[in-house]
Amino acid sequence: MPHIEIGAEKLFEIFGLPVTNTLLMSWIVIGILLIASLFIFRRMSIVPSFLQNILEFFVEGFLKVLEGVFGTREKSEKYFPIVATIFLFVLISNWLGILPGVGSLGFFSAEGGSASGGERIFVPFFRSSASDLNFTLALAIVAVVLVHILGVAAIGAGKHISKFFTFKSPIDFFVGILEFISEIAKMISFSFRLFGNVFAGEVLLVITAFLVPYLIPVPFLMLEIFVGFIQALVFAMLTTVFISIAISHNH
Amino acid sequence: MSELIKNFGVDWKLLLAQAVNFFILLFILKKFAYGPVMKMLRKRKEEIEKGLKFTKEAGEKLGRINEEREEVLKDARGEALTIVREAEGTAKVRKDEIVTDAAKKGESIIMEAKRHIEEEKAKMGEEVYRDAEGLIRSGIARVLGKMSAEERDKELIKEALSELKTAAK
Repeated sequence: MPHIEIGAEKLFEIFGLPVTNTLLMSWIVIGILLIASLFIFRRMSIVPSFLQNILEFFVEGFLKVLEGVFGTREKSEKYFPIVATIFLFVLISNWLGILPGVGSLGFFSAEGGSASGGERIFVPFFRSSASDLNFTLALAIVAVVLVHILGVAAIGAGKHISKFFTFKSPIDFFVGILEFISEIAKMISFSFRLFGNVFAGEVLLVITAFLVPYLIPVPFLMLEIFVGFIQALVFAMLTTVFISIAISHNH
Repeated sequence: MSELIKNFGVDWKLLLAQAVNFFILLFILKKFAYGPVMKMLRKRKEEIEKGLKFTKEAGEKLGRINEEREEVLKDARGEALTIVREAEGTAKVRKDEIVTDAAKKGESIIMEAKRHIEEEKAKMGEEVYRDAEGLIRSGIARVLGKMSAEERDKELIKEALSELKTAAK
């Protein structure tokens, strides 16, 4: 049976920061996106090339979707960077997690847990970032905090806080408290939704590949490509909706 | 709770690292991807709008120019016609004037010539008389020279008397 670990495995340590295989993976994602954007967006021309045309098509499509939520093109362009970064970060790390070698290249660690009874356990070098709760929780906290910052920036601190703490009427007061609790629930649902999906996908792939190494994992791989896209989209779209609620005056 | 956190491997250092990762990525993409793309999209939109506006304006201008040209041509044609008509009128008037002038001039020239001829004729007549007088005198002198003095005197007296008689009358 393949060993399945919920937490990410530590590879080494830099200045007290434990570098796990998922953290390494997110650095790789950043590196890939940096190189890609340097190569693709450096040579932009007013008459687009084939590649540029495709990219602009996607950007336009994304902006249109955001426009559908925010209502205006101006707002959609304003909040596009945050939403698109969340989307790309999650999407690329999910898809990289499916690549061959991501779960299979690694080393055997001598320091096995007490459960394995001193057995040497396999530690992969790379692991899909979102299969670590640290990644999804960090992203969820960042997203929710950003939502509140943007809300304050758009309608002012007093108005934004009055959405949660108000003494206008007892009903509003309790609704505000519930809203506040739901903000914390948002972080948890954000992080566990993404983590659960990606981690389950990883486990699913490991198990199917272990049971039947050939052909059978292929549909599951396709499913994981789809799930990876959907989860990235869900995370990005939920953030969009939360931003649009936070920057609106009435609640 | 702490057991749960430990099971999931949640570590505040890793949380912070991943959050920092997100902001690094946001910065990178904003600088190298979103910025250029947005700028390009906006620029292209402006260019296209400018182009369309320019085309529309050019079309309108062309239409206006064509209209103006038509009008100018029409005006010019009308003007040309009036000019030609006027010229015809003046030409006719001038022709009449010239013809009458010429006739007058011709007449005056003929008159002058006639007068001249008259004068010349008169002058010539006088000259003829003057010449004739000399000739006659010399002729008479020669004839008288052959006559005897008596006869001559007689003759002269006779003549003088007849002259007197006519003068007395």
